[in-house]
Amino acid sequence: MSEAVARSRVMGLSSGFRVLVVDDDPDMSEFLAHMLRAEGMDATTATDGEEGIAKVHAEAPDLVLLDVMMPGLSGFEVCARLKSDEATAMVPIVLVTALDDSASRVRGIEAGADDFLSKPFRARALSARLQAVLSRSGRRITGRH
Amino acid sequence: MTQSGYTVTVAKDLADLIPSFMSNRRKELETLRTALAASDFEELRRLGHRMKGAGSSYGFDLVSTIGKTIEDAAKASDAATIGSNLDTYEDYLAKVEIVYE
Repeated sequence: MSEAVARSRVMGLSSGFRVLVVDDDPDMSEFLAHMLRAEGMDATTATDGEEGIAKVHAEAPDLVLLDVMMPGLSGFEVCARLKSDEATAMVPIVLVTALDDSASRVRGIEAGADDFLSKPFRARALSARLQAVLSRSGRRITGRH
Repeated sequence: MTQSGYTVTVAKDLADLIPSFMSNRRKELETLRTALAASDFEELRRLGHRMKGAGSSYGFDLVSTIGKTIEDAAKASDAATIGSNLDTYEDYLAKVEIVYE
């Protein structure tokens, strides 16, 4: 599949969706937000777990891209908190990590994560993964867009 | 191979982000030097981990490679390996040439 075809398929599914990026590294936040906006999504950012949780409550995003290794609350802790809160439990969470190992994936699953992305990654991997998560979550049908 | 020996090809649509990315790398180098001088291996591990994730995402594979080496060396408290990699990183940041495609 060409990049253009991949992009158009993602646009059809995810254009207009709101994604919250939670990452303490401003370069990664900007990179992810840039890629998401290029796909027609609305992207906002948070620089730590506490801010991320607050923004999920305030903005009710369609999906959260959540870094695992952050100072303060880790991505695992943020994920577990959001998934244990009735108000935010249904928001899909994709954990973004450089820890491409089974142990971190198990921790993520235990915390309730819906999917994983391993850094570094390319735009097509990001698009394809988000497309799959949004589709599974039913947001194309029941989302506000 | 260019005159500098370091050439990176970056997607054109990332061009607006590169000045900030490169500025952050230079600040990062100073932070790494400070952490090494203080034998702060936890900070070195954290920064190496961050480099590993960000570098190749932007197209700067050597940043990721050096980051992984620093992260692994920090876990082993291997100051010599970290020091030599910081010298390589400094040389890279001074000479890297960016091509947008």
